[in-house]
Order: sequence, then C-alpha cells, then structure tokens
Amino acid sequence: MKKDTQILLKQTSYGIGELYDKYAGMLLGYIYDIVKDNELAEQHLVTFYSSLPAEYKNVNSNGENTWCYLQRLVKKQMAGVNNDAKSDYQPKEIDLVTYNNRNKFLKLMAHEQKEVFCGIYHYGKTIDQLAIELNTNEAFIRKTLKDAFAIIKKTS
Amino acid sequence: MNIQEYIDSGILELYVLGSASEMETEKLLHYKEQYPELKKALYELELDMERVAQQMAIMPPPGTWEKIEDRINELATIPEYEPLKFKKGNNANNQKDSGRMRDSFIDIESQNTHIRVHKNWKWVFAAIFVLSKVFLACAIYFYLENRQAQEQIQELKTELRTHKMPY
Repeated sequence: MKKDTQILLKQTSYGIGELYDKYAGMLLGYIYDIVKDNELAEQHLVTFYSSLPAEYKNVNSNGENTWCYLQRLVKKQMAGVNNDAKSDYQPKEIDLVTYNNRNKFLKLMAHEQKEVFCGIYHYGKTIDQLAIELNTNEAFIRKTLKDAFAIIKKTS
Repeated sequence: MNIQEYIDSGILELYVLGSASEMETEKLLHYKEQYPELKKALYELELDMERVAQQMAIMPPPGTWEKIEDRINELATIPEYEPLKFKKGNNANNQKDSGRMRDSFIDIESQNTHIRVHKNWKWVFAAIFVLSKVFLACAIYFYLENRQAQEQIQELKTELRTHKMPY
C-alpha cells in the first residue's frame, strides 16, 4: 500500500507540471545567464524541478508572485554554483551566438546600470558588495538600480 | 511614515530581485498589508520582472520534463522504512539476548532489482553494438565468399576430371 507522502508526491508532480509549462523557459534563460553553458543550465533546471515537491506547498502561500518566488529558490540553489561558474566556465561560442542577443532591456541600460542589475539579479550580490566593487556608496547603487527598473518599465 | 519615500528608497526593487535582507523583507510584507499603494507598486514591479524573464526565456530542449518526471517518480517509489528502535539492556540480558540479536540484524541488502550505471557506459554499449554488427556483416560476407570459392574449386575439379577422361 502506498504511503501518504508517496501519494502526495504523485499529486504534486501534476502541479509541478503546470509550473514547468509556464516557467521552465524563463528559469532556463535565467540559469543560462548565470552559468553560460546550455547543458549545465538544463541540468540545473532538472535538479531544481526535481527538488520542487519539497517547496511546492509554499508557492503562492503568501500571495507572492510565483515567478519571483521560483526565481528566488533558483538563486538559493545556484548560490554555491555562482563562484565556480565564474572561474571555471568558458562560454561555448555556439551558445553565445544563440542566446546572447535575447535581452532588449539590457541593451538599453548604461554600463553601470547593467552591472548593478545583473550583479543583483544573476549573481545575488548585495548592495554593499556592489558598492565596494564599484567603489561607490549604497545610495548610488540603489539609485542606479531604480534607473535600471525605470528602463525596464519604459521598454515593456 | 511617508510611504512614497519608502517606495522611492529602492527597497521594492531589491525585494523583487531577491536581495533584500530578512528584516527588510519582513518589514516590507508588513507594510504591504497596510498600504495599498505599496502593494500596487510591488505588484507592478513583480510583473516587470516577469516580463524581463519572459524576454530572456530559452525553450527547454525536448525530453527535459521527462527527466524531471522520472526523478520525481523515483522519489515516489522509494519505499519508506520505519527506523528500528535501539533497546538498551544490562550485561546479563545482553548475553541472553545475543542469540536473539543475531536474528534481528538489520537487512541492509537492497531489495531493488535494478542497478545504476555511469552514463559513459551508454557509449561503450553503443560501440559494442556497432562492432558486433560489423563482425556479423564480415562473417556473412566471408562465409558467402568461402562458399563461392568452394563451388568454384568443385567446378574446376569436375572440369579437370572430364578433361582427363579421354586419356
């Protein structure tokens, strides 16, 4: 006889299927921008969705946007990978050609805005970390991030 | 509290990017319930982030969902065992119980009839399969060649015999 947890897992996999249909492409794009390797990004996506049953009950639990919640979970999963990715991975040329021209928002951002936005969005850097890296203060980073969001809003 | 000032501080952007501290997040979620304008601003930012992600989306290769489903189903089929309780007794009891203890070893041998092998073996098996086909083709070819040669020898022998006959 099946245990309750096993039945629950089966039922959960249907819900995860829906989350996959809606968000897998977005998550794969997000992970790809971190690891810059197509196959590796797919592996991380599989690992992420396979471990999602444990977190499934929390999705939409406090009215939070589903995408933002999933992206935060991926960021947590990728936290240990980020540093390795930067030092170990050489982007494959074919991947760069195929995927690097996807983001119209980034193209419109100034160099500093791009650095701040990507630093936080992809690499999970904190405001003070970025302030030290860019040799500036936290207020400037916050303002730059707001400007980057203004560009996103304007473009979309 | 000036809510507009709070919105303009950039904390909402940090929150949607997942970079706000725990304290900042807690405070924000608290204010969100109190101030509808904050709720609206946050909702719009979340939508903006979703749009960015849609713009940067990459279609997963076919078969990705099957891999995920397999892994989830593996989790669903792993049987759950009740942990055995450890019973502590005195020495005299231990000696008495030693016979019984032998019968109550925990069976660590896996009940699973399947084995897992490294992915690289896929290529080894594929090479063995291709090589076996090549050898099979060679064997058939040489068998036919040999049969044809035998027939030719036989024909030549017959021919020789017929030529020798008049003498």
